Amino acid sequence: MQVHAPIIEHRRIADDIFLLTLSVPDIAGSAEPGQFIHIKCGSSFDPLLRRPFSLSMIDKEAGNISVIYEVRGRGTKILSTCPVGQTLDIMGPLGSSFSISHISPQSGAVLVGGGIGAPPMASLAQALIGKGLKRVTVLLGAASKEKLLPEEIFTRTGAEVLIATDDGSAGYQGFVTELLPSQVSGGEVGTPVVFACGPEGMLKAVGSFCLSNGIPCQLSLESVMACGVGACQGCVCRVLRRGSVEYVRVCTEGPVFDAGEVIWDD
Amino acid sequence: MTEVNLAVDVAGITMDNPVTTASGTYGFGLDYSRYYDVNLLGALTLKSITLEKREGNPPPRIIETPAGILNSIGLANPGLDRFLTEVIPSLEAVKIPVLASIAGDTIGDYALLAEKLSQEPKIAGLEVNISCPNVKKGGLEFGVDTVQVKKLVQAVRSSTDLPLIIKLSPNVTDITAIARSAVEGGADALALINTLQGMKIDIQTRKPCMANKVAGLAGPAVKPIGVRMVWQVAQAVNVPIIGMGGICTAEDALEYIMAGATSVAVGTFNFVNPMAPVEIIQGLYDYCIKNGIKDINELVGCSFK
Repeated sequence: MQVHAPIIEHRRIADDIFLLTLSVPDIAGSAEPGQFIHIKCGSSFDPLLRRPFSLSMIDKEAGNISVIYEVRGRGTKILSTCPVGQTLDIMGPLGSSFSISHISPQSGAVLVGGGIGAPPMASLAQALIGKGLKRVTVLLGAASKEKLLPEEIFTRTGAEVLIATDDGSAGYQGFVTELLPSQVSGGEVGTPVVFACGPEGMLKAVGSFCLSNGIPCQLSLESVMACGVGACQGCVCRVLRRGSVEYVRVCTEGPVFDAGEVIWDD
Repeated sequence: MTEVNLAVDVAGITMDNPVTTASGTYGFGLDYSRYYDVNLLGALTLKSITLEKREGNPPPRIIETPAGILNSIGLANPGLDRFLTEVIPSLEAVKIPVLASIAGDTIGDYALLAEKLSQEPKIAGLEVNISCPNVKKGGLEFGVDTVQVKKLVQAVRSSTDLPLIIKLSPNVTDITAIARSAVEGGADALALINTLQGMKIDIQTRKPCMANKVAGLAGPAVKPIGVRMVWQVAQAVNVPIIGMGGICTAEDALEYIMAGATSVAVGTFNFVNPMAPVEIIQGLYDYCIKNGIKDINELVGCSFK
């Protein structure tokens, strides 16, 4: 659906990174973790296209949804200046969600979030814990502590959070993917399930580790998008389906894919 | 809506209002069905199909430009067979005229597509895409050459009795010469403009951004060019025109109508405001009421009459 939703919270939470909460009960009511909303940033023709943002929080009771974004270009720059009380023209919820209905409460879940890809891991952690999973671990990565999302966004869902930064300014020094092997071995976690969203290099590493270790893994892909509803065919990625490699739309068939079906371009 | 006639006739295709969708921006008609009933439109124009399935171009396929987009989709489509077995049945609830768009590498491809689609009662007319600039041999060779345009249209004409709408490329020196050739070949109507060839260069890699290098510019940025070309073609030929290129609002649609378009198509702006086609229909009605226009057809080409 397309709605004009009032901003009820909008604040800077890290270097050039903002948390935006909208009151939009219809979308909150039907949205699932992994899905995104498509926001018109400003009312002019420049920038022309909407900007897609994965949902970081879905509060069905309060009727609110949140996204966390980094100011990267003109669209997000304009968005960052929108005050509380202003309404935003949004479409959503769009795209596929993380598939969690089949996951047993006895499973452990490891959620790998890198950089500005990490936000949907908060709503996913909340949903998994809501399903009764006892051990949900978020591996939260960032370039540095200035770019690190506040740990509290994830810990308040009940998830355990382990931090890695590239420069070592917070948590483990190194890539967040380096924390993954110790989290899915040792039998402590039971049969683990892995979810990841972040930069392409991180997704490749997580996907290939899980595939070679027989661990189920779902990846959320990022793409520049135009329509967001499948009409324009602009946001395709390559996947293996029914034995052949084909392009599918990140906005409609995705953004969440099984790690085993994603074909990376080298 | 009783006091104003918004209905138009394009080559025997009766549309309850002048608004349709620009091919390639609306998929196969159902992607926007969560936003409004497609039957509110005057007609539905589908994405171009080819004889065989096409995967389309590697990403990036769309890049934003000032008030526009560069796109290089590469005619991604499921091919004729799946169009007939999957797409057509999915359109059962669509009661408005459906225009299929066809594209090919050879004149024979176009003729065969036209022949096969003629047997399909769901199709009210054929838009012949002779101007897609994205695929090698995907149309540009036909669309920029008067002799080729006439030969192609004649071949398609002899393969079908369906109304033929030829979609023209703006990437030519004199669009009226191409328009005349299409009409001489047997076109019942013309659609214009397709995208303008453009390019963006990545200043970090120092290479073109698109894998296909050249891409098609669309969106509000191209509207003045489209209006000018419709105005020129409307005075050069005597067939109805479906005008398009950057239409976002009823005011934009009215410019095209006054330039000579009987029907108008919303393209890129569907991506920005999915409700745009419906808002434009309402806006056309409101304009007519406010200005005492009884029939929208009175406005067609009024800028030069």
